[in-house]
Amino acid sequence: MTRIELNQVSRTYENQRGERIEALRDVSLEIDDGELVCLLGPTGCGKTTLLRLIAGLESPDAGTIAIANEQVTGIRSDVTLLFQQYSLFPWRTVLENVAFGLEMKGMARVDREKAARQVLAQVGLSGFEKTYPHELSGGMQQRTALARALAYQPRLLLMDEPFGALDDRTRHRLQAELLALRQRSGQSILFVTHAIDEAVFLADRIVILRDRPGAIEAVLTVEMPRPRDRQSAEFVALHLKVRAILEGIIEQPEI
Amino acid sequence: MKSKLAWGAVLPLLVLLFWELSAVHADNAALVPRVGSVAARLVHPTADLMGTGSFLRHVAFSVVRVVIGFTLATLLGVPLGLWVGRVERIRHIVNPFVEMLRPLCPIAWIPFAMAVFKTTTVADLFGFHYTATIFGHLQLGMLFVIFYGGFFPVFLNTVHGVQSVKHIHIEQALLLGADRRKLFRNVILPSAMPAVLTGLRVGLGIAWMVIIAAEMMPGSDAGIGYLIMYSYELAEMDVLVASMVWIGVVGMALSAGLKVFSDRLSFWQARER
Repeated sequence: MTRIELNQVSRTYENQRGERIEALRDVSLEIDDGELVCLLGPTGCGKTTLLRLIAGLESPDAGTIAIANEQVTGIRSDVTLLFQQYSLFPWRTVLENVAFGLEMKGMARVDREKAARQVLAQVGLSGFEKTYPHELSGGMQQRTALARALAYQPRLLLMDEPFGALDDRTRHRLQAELLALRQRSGQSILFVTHAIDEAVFLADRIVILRDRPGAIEAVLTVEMPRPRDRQSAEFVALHLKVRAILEGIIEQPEI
Repeated sequence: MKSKLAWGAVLPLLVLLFWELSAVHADNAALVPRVGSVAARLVHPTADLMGTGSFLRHVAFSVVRVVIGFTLATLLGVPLGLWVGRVERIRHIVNPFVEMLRPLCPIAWIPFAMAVFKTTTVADLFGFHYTATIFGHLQLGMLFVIFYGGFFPVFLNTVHGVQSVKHIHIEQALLLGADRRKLFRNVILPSAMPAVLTGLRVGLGIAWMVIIAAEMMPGSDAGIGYLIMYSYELAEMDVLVASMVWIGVVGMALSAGLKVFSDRLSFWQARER
């Protein structure tokens, strides 16, 4: 079971002027096996910090994080993170990028290239195996990064605004592809976004964070069947509800 | 393309014209040689010059010295640079020393190197001096100053390359299962490669300048720098100027050769932001 449990997690940074910034305070959250949870919140609410803590890139100052009942003490081989952008290795071809994780696992070239080709086909990038990242559009680069993360076959996939820099059409396509791919592989996904529309479209559950300090404001379960219609009354209603919560956060006077 | 070449030829032709006019005006081959007499030397690269051998022989000696000295500089500079770039504590130990030596021009070391190594050659070192091989012309002092001149650009650029590896690439590799060793081989090394190659280009250029100066010193017996000094002493100005042309041509060839090699290895960098 790849259940993720965050128990009263806090993280404070010191900025360059020596001021203490409380990025997260007492965040408790559970993510079920195979669940897709979207983290939504204003800029600077600690969404990225939360992902980095779960990924094992940083440690919390207080509280515990457990994946499959094991405490997270560092980077785990069954968890990976998809960054917002520019994370492809520019000296490797698309195929070599996608096969990277499998290569690190020690898989033979023939096997890992076969697996990488399969994932590339799934994200619609067949024919671009020998291409280098700088020759691809932003959307295709991000699709390659997604393929690389999926080829690694993590049980938990953390995604940090992966489609944030893309145009609407590309973003919608990738969202649909992500859902289709998850259907097949069944991993848990924690997806950070600042777009309400994206969260409502993707999530099994939406977690809304407030900022200063970063903490959970609300958790909404999304019962809508898939594929979700952005024009449906249900979709629009939930969109408005989430927006109202977010506006409430932003309009609150600072303490 | 054709018109670009034509425009590029304007300045060299003007220089040649000015040179020829000055030579005619000076009317003294021991001061300013005619363009034609220099060209006549250049078209016979294998002809003996003043009993010292041909251009090709001298160029070969210079090139072999540079290649050996610079290879040593690379063999030490690149691994050391990778290590220093990667380990902060080593950097704290090595940096002050490097910053002290770096501004010390390699040419300033030449007399010192000559004094310490005298005219000892690689052949002496391995004890086969009395058979005439090229090793008998590879003076340790010259190899040392080439090494010194080539080392710093190679080393410093390598350190810089390692330190400017993007953090996101390191984290991404770790998150895809890379251990320290695989991270180094698959991310640090390829990331740093363009900077390493820049260091090699700069270092080779410096090594080529330093050898010419080293060969001009007393105790030198061959090489293109030696040929320049010797033709100066005999007032053979056409040989002297032809030697200068050779220095330029060989320097360009060395740089171009390395560029072909480095473009192949760092092709991806040109389009990167």
